[in-house]
Amino acid sequence: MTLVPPGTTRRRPTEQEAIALELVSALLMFIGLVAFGYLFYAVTTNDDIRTATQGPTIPGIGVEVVKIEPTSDAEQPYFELRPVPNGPAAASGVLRGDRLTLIDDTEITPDMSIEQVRALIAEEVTPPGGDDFVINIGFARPQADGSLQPATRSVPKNVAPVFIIAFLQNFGIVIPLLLIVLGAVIFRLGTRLRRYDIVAARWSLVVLLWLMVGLVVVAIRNFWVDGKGGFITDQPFNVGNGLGSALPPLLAIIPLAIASRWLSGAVNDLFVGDETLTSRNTRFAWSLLVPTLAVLILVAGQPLEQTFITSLTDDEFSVSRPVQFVAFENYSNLLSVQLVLVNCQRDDEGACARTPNGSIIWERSSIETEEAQRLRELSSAERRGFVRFQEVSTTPLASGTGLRILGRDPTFLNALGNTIYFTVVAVTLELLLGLIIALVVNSNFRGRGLMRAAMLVPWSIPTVVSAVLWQTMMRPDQTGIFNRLLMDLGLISQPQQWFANTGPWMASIIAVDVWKTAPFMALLLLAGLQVIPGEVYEAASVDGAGKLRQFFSVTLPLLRPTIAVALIFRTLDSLRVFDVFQVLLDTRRPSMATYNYDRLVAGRLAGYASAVGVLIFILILVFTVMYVRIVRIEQE
Amino acid sequence: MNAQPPTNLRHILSRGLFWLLVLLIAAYTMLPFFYAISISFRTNAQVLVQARYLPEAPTLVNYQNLFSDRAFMNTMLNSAVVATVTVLLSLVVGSFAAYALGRVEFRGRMGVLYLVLAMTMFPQISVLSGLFRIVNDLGIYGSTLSLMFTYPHLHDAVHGLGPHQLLPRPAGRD
Repeated sequence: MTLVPPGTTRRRPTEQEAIALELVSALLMFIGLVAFGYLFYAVTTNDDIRTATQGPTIPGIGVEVVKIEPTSDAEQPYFELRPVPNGPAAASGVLRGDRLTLIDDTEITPDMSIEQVRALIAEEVTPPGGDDFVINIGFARPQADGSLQPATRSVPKNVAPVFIIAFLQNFGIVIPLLLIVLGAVIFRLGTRLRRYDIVAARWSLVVLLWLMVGLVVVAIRNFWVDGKGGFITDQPFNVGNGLGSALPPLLAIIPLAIASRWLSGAVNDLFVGDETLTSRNTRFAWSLLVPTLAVLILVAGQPLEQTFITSLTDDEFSVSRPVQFVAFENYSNLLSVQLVLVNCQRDDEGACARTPNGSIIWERSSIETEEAQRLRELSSAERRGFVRFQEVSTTPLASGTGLRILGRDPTFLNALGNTIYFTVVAVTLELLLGLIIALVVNSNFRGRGLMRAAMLVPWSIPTVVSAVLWQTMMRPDQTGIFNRLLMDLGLISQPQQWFANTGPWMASIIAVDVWKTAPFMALLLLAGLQVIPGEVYEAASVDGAGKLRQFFSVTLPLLRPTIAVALIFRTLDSLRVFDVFQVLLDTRRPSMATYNYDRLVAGRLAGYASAVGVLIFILILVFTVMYVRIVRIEQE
Repeated sequence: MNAQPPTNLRHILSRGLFWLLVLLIAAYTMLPFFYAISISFRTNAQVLVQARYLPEAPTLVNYQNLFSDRAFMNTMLNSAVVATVTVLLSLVVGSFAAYALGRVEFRGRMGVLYLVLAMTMFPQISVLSGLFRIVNDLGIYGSTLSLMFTYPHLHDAVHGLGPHQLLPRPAGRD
């Protein structure tokens, strides 16, 4: 790149050059408009969004209304509901042969027209937060003796997704935002080019280059995917199809290539202006970041934003009920906590009553009684959306009272407590142990290389495998080598149940995790120790500092940034701890990540599980920002 | 090493303690691994009866079974293919970004770093539902292709340039 000396005046462009510039500028503005246009086109032609804004096109509830004309004259015509194959909520339709008598308290008579009955079940879009998801259908079921037995059934309505959810699920947040921002930026570049602005010209070159690379990638993808007729198919490769769909993006490259070629030739000749070093650096850096950011947004950003969007809904896997936007309801259910004081139940002598194994029996708190009362007064439809406050834990205080923590999801709150406790204890132990190991393998002794290799053995075993290995070693009877070893050493007299609910499960889990990750900590700290120059120690030695003093006054302060990085790494991982909890405790005692997995896979509650994931993310964010802040303040 | 001549006993004692520490660390990190090797030479029935430090009648039957298992060979191949492709992809894509973030001072650097870091903070488990949806939409569910596509995303490329950069460089290093 050649620098333009500040304040250069450009020569007068020739007529052809002026026209070429107009064309290039128009091309950029056109590309900017294409981004907007594409977004507009995609939104307006999307089926889900049309359904959300204009209402559902099929009536009602995924069941079809049929008028039956009986074959014999003895019977009157009647209406039936039949499940629509693949229709929403079809599974709950009235069975064939049942006669409709009521829909939401409106009587169905044989003289009604089929349109009238359809209108009864064709519902408008329920506003967000509306709770009326059910249509109550009364029908008569023919018995064996020919009589008609009345029955009722509740069928979920076919509520179309509200606009916001339809939009978010189809387009997400990042892509539309990106299209708008990039469209605007490219359009503006086009207008600035016309002013012979050199910064704009150079940015335009970067934009054109990456657009061309993008088009090549699209062409290759089209060639491959369309040639095979899908990502994974058994069809033979069809070169014609592949070339056919690769051609449009390749053709689109041509004007870009011409524009870019002309611009790069003219950039130092025609354009004027100063550019600071920072501005050049910024452009250089961003042009290098484009591929990474593109991959991040497509591959990482999409699932992340989907997780966040899903967490605002009541989405469930393999349930055809339409997804409702519930705003922060999942979060409020997860995080609702109340503290109450409870009294213990008194026995005959006035002391606190205890269960046979010695724990105090507590009375129900006023909140629990109230909620139980409220639950009884709710209708069955309302009851489904109501999550009761339940006991999380009760801590005994003085004189027969206890502090009780209530939550709407006690399992999650327990998982939260478990995870934080686990993280704090495990990471502290790892740091201490890792520091000792790092100091040892950093000092000079014969066999140091071998020792450094040996130290990495636990880290090199995949976590799942090491968890299974420890499960074998810590089996609860004489088949566990851990029990055997401790008994041979005389430390315990009975085989211990390490992972049982009544056993030291948390300590066991932490021990397994520390074994696995302390070497990683040691490795990071070793790297930090090695960059401390030896002269510092010599100087400290000359000044008369002993080994201990050297450690606290030289090693530790110089190691602090490394420790911070190591802590961030480990805390990030510990808060997401999954493998050890899943393998060793199954779902009996969850960490947040295993609870998340359990809700997602066993509970099929995609929305709720996503909210758990987002909460883990927020917790990790808080910890990380805290660390970074602390380290920065100390540095200053 | 020390300026004053050390008392002999003290020197021996400290060396002894040091080697004890080395031995302890080696035992701590290696023994579980050795135990895994040890039980790999015992049959399932033997393992389920009584724990032993060393196999009573070493047998290679587990290894025979493993290497005659077609599925196992398949898993090895899968791992190798997925690892190679993802590492190459991450390397190519990540090295551009790593250079820009590590060597160039520019506007928005901190923003990009925080963005990258934030993406590594999501637990992989909770991205599952989102990933599943995308993999399913692409029609590559159940293939190694889906792994290659999804694996790099929260891994090496991103992880490597995450938290270090947010912090001031360690003192003593330039």
